[in-house]
Amino acid sequence: MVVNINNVTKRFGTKEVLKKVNLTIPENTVFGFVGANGAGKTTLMKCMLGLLPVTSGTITIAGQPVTFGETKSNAHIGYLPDVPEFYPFYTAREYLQLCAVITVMPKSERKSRIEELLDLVGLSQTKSPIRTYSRGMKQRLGIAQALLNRPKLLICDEPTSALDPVGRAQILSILQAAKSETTVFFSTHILSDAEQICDRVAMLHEGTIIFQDELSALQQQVDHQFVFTFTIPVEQALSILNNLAYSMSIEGESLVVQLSNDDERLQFMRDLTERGLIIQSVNAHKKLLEQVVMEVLK
Amino acid sequence: MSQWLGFLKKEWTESVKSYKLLLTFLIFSLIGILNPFTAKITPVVMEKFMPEGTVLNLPEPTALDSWLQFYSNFSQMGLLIFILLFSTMMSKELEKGTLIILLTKGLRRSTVITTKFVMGIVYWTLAFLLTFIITYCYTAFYWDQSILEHVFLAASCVYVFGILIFIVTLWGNTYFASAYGGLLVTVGVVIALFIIGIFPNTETWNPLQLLTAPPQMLIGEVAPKKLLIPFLVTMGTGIVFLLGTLLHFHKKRL
Repeated sequence: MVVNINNVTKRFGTKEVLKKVNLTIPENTVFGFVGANGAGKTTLMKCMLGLLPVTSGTITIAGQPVTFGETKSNAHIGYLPDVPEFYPFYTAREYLQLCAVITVMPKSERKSRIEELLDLVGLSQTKSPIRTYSRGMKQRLGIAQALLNRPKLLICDEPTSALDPVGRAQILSILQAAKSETTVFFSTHILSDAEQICDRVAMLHEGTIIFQDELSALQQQVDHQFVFTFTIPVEQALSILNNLAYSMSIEGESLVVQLSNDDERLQFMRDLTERGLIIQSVNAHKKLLEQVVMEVLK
Repeated sequence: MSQWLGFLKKEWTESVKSYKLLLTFLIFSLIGILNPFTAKITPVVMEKFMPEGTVLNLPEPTALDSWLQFYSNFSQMGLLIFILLFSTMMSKELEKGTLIILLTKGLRRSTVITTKFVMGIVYWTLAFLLTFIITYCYTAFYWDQSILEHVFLAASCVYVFGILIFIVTLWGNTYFASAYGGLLVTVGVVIALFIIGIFPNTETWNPLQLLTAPPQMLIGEVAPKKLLIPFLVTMGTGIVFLLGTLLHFHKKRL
């Protein structure tokens, strides 16, 4: 595990922002950290970076304990804040050169690594100072600086929240590409973003982790259900099938049917044929992460 | 290049790009020129502005008048301008969050404070040398300076006091993370030193002596050794504030 968070509690005065949080992040995964605004996601990330002290509990990054105010464990981390701020007078290349000096990167590696990252984030042709950059360009430069020292863990705080759809897609694709050389831990309140690229997801709600699992496991909570659409309205199809002994319900424009084994599935297809119902589409029923989250929150 | 030198280079680049270097050159050169110039033209100006027929018996200006202008202009206006120029060194970074990325990349917190301190000292030294050298040369051109005592030593007292004021500003700026916080602390400290100065016998150690005694040192009324304790107190206080800044920033929540 690249990250081990054990029983971390964080209080600001009397307000308990994190309540005995336990979280482990396996290597080379994209780990989505979801939760509403104000749930405590940024606070936990800042504790992981040693920017805030924890009230109790421990955090280790790549086996190195995190100590508030110290930077040893940060040698394994790349961090992209929600609103990355850079020195506006530098160009992207100059800023990455400063970062390379700060991370004590060998001189021989610097130039090639910087060019490689500028290519990755699509800023290699940009010569203007950072003060002229759009929000999306700053976010991309933020990812480049975070990946500079080939960190074992890339922490991104709401990297897509303020971007337009094109910017979001670019960032998500860069994060997915980064998975080959690092572990990505990114927070978001946009569940579809997490769904697109995450292997694992944890949800923080009112300072507590209410679930953490592989995304596929969360999505497969609805076993043996199939979603049908027909060439006729779903209500009409249901009325035709009403006298059959299947568990059926309407979801939007689709009919969800419980078919527990192969025999039931074959029989259902025969029943449809007998009644002259023409299938437009059929899919295994998967719940969207948003539905899972809403059910958990109920 | 080491991390420390790398961040110092960033400080230098930032100061150049934000016109601090240019402003320092212009302002402190101007102050240097103004000191003897004001001393030279004051009698002429006064004569011009007096009602016609008024007879003024103003003594001819001397090198002392030029240096008195130095202690008026550089110690007050110059120091104030310098503090205003550098009063946001830390707060700007803390308010905008530009340090966060670099700190999470392993930049030591002590490096941030010490490089900013060194850059401030470099600029204060530049400002002092510009004003001092221009005043010295220009004064030597017009008048005989051999009548004055301890010209270099007297000027260096103001330089040392300026270092203390800069460190206090850096501490306030770091502690309150706002430009006004740093300035308020500095103003508070200067007022406190003036209040202390009201009480008898405090002139033997009050750092403010480094600002007020040099003109008397020039005419031999104050011996240099009388400023030794204020000098040591100033240096000691400066070191305490610098250590306080380092300790505070080490545990600052970001």
